[in-house]
Amino acid sequence: MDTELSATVVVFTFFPRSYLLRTANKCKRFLQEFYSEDENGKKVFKYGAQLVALAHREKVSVYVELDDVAEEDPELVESICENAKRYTGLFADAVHELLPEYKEKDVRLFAQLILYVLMMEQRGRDPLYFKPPSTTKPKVVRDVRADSIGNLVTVRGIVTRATEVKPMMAVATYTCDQCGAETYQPIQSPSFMPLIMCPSQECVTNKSGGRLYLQTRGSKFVKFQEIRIQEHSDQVPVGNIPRSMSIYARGENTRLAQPGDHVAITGVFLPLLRTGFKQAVQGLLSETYMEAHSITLMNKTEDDELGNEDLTEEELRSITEEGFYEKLAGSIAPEIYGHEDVKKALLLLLVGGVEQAPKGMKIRGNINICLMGDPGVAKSQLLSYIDRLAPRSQYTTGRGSSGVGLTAAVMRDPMTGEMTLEGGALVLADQGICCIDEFDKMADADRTAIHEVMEQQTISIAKAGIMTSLNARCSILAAANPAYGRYNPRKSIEQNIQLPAALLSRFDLLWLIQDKPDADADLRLAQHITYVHQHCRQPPTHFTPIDMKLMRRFLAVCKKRQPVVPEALADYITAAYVEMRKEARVSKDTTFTSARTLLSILRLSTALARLRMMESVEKEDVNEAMRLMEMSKDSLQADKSSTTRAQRPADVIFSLVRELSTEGVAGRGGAGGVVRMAEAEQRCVSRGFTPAQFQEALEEYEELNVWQVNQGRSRITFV
Amino acid sequence: MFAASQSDPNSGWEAKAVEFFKDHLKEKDAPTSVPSLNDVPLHYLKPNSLVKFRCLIQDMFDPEFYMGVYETVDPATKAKVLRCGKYKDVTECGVSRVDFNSRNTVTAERQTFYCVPIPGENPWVKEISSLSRVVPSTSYAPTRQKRSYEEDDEMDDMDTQPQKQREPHPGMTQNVGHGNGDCKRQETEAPSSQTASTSHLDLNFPLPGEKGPSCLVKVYENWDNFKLNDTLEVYGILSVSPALSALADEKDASSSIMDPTESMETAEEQRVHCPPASLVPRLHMLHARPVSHNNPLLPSATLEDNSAFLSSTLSEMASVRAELLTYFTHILLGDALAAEYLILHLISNVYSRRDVLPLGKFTLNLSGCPTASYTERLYQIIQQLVPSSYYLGMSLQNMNQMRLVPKKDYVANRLASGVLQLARHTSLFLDEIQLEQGQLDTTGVRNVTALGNLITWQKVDYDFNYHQMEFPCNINVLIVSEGRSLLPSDCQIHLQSQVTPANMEEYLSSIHMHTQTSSQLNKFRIYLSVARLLDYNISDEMTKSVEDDFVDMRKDDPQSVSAEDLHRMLVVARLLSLSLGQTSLSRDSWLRAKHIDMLRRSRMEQHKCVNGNEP
Repeated sequence: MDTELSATVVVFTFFPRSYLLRTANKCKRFLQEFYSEDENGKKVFKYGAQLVALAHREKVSVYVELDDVAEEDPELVESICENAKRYTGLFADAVHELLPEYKEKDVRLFAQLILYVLMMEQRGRDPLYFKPPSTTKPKVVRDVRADSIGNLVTVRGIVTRATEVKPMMAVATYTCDQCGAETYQPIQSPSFMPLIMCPSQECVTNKSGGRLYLQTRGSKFVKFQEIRIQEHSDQVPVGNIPRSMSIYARGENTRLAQPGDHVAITGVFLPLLRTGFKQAVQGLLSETYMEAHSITLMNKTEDDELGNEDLTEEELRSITEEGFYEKLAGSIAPEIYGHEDVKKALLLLLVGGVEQAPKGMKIRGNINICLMGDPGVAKSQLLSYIDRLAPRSQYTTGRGSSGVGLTAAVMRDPMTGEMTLEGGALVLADQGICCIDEFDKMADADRTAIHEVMEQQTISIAKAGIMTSLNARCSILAAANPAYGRYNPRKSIEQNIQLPAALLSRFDLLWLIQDKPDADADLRLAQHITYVHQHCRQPPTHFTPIDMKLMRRFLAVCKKRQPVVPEALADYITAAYVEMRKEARVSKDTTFTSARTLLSILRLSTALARLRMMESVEKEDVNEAMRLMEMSKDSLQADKSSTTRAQRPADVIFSLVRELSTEGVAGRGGAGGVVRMAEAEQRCVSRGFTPAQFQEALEEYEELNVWQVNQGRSRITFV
Repeated sequence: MFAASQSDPNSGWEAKAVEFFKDHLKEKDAPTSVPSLNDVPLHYLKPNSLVKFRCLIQDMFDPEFYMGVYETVDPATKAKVLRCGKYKDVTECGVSRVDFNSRNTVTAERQTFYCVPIPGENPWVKEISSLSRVVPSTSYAPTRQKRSYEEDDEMDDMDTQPQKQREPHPGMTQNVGHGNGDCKRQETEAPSSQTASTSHLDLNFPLPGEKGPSCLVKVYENWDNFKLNDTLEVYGILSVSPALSALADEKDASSSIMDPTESMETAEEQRVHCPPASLVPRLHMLHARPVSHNNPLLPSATLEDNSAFLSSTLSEMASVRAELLTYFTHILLGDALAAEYLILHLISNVYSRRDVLPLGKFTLNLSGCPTASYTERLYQIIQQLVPSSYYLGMSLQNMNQMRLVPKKDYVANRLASGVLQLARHTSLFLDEIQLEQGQLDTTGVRNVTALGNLITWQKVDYDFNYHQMEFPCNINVLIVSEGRSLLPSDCQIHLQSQVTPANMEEYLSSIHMHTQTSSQLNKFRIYLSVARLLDYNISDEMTKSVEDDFVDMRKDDPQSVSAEDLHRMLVVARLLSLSLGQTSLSRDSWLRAKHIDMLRRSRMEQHKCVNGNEP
């Protein structure tokens, strides 16, 4: 990229006089004639109104929207953007010339104003600011280079420093000690050379040599503030230090931003000219700054990183093609092998369910998930991946955060001595995801602080005279180790998890990720790892993981959907729920099947519908939601049987068949729990069991009343 | 320097000049003939001469806009002269003034990097690299110093005329060597200028107690290719114009009330960005070479380019390894297994990153170290072998007070360095024996977390106040501790001393005395550096058998082997092969890797039972 450009030349291009005049007239005409039609078809002279307000000193500055200019004269917009400083002057001149025409009422009534207005008319222009065309894209600080000098640019960044607001002299007023005449000196640059000799007619003709004295009271000052911004962390290439930029804000633009704020600033990028001795020693360097035209505060969530534009057709197609659900799930932490179901659950957590608020009762839509498991099963990696993927998220560890740190703290402001609320991780993650690692290591007292958040999605505070309720509409993704470091199969689940039921029931899904031996999985795992070591990259899978940015944008689109549960499905869900309750009673389930479970299923199904970009929930969504529930429960229970299960062929066959039945639910949407005999047999034989063994297992389990085989011996139905 | 080309600023001479220098530096001896800022004190170098500097990019400042071409007007004659501003800091105008409104002015952009000498560079590296420049047949005649200066001038003159072909000048190399030797002696006599002034100006070295010049390197092209913490050898034009310091002083004095913009550039920022040139010289980069290693014993070119050297070293590798193993075994009180692991650790290298997962890292935790003095000795020995290293005693005081993670200082607008801002391949020696009971405060906890992150992910989260930024790194961390370390590690091995010397002190000092002749040491040094730079691959058949092995192992005892273990074993196998000079995995190496890993585990288990403090 050629950065060398005669940039200074651009700033100081000298227009031919005729051209200048023409342009000045253009500006004037625009200000006078631009109108938009309101809903009644009446012409509204937007800038006329502004000028009237200005003439009556009701406003102090004029804003010119370049979108409006574009309607009249697109070329003019281009030249304005390229040479903004000059056009600011041209427009200001035009405003100044037009002002007297717009004076509708007599301002002289206000005695004090007279003086002021007179003064204003004599010297100095009112500030005029451009609003950039809405089509311009904000630039990265890094990309504002020498060729942008003189241009109107928009940059985004985080404010790292803001000076005090100081008065800056705009017009210096002098009085002469001999004749008493007032002399005005407009000041453009940061420093100026004071006038000494009186230039008035009287003094010059008399040669009285009148001295001028600066009158602070008569001079005009503008507010001035310097701001330093730094580019966002995500705009910085890897291995680079974020760049920063100085912004000069004057008048109304001051005091808009504080350190730490995310801002979008539009302004003119200019070289800083020094005068006098400094200019000499400064030598070759010229500093640059940006003269702010507008400063807008931004919310981090509405950040541009998502890309404001909608997904293109092509991108949409690439995502929503066949098997997109698996593909999306697989794109979550592709470097972590396996755990498909967990990843699916995390995908749903990212999308979130639909929040319902019937008659003021709020039912959260956010999905909470708790991952448990042996050390070293990549829980933390999953968490940190989600933290990076989610547009808004907070990552904390249980050991490192107290209840106060998670919720909110009341602090005494060191400057003013006032009490202020400082939001904790959960508040900061509002509308996002809060990842809490080492959840089990948290002190009980601190853990209870998040009970409220997990269900009510608010944080109520009553301390130090501050009583309030803060929004904390976040999903919680927690990771915990089993109580004894490793999952101990000899202990019961409660003993292993050691989290109170009140908390556990608030998680929609609980996963126990266990390091279970399985030759097949082991081989795939080994292949995966060796491949990574061999080729230093991910093994080729049947899909390429979706790019993180694309994924974020897709999720943002998904979140806009608000699918509803159709009437017809209500019965189905209730029936399924009743069934689950029954099952839970029978099998002495250690997890909790309660009304919350029902809500969880609804949340998961709406999230699935969102993912499909549909407006209503379908039966498959509910089935998949229930499958996930079931799998999450399975993950907790399977190992219980593993102690008793001595890997008898019959047991293995049973689990194979069960696997087949759940697959049926996921894939073909068939009724859950029914497996075709032929299919089951084929599966078992392919795993190295003899048909005789299969039949044996079939009978054995039929006796146990786990499943039923129909008369024609063609179907296995799970009870 | 560019007088000849000034009349025609657009002729593309800049590219030609850079090309010229690059060509010359490719010649075999050319790089050694350029004086190095690392060894030669600043006041012995001619301003505006070509120098080189081996450094680490510590900070990146905002880009600067400067006048690439400017016009000066002589007030008397009104004659206008076009001048070039590239590779300059100050305008040269003499009596004439710069015409700032000239239409011929060209504004260009350049980037400033704040560079420091490679942190933790061990004394032997400095010694050898400065020695390599001295031509053997020199006599230290003090009178010759004057001559050397004159010849320096000559050389400078030659530099100023890039169009003339510069011939390799035998005298030149000698001169520099002389200047060098002389300065060495004189430095001890007059150290006041350097040390006194550093006291009030923080030169921002990552490691405490570092010395050496830091430099503001001005980069004119391709600055996007450089990354923070890259190590470079910069060839450039030295600029130490006193006007630069004047600028800084002037700013302080003239802060007027009338000029509100003045307040933005705080005094600290001024100090950081425009330090006196006598302390922090400016270097206008002509050419930079990434330094893949800072071992002066190795040829500086990449290994592929130097096949003769490579093959000769490779053939020796097995034997050197055996010697080194004996040496380490001796040091580690006769524990051959630990010695083996120590070698593997020293040649480990993060060779790839998969998303967040660094591959190839091998953090070793050497537990069961007897005494504090032992670990210090151990460090001294490692220091003798690796090009750069740092000893971090993890005492409570250190952990609570030291700044490990670099932090952005917004007042001074710079990145305040921390101990963990290290170049790649630096050995970080964490001495946990120093840790005593007590409380870690907030800083301490943060520091320990940072160390943990460094070990697990090979990254450091630099503190930018409003957010954190991840910087990947490649540091070999060796933890010595009594029991299991509180920090995570890839591999823990408990030291089992085979010999129990009656007097530890004596035994240790005898090891130290035992230190081989320098030729032997150099062999070790070359060995360690080369082994790290070798390429490595795994064949498909091997992959298959490794997979099968893994499945079998899992079948036997699923609890014993996890995915992490496989990762580790593959790394061990890799390092084991490399340590033997083999660039691909063989069946033997794999079995051996499995074997030593098993030995290590069984020892750990044993130890656990003995200790009984593990659940």
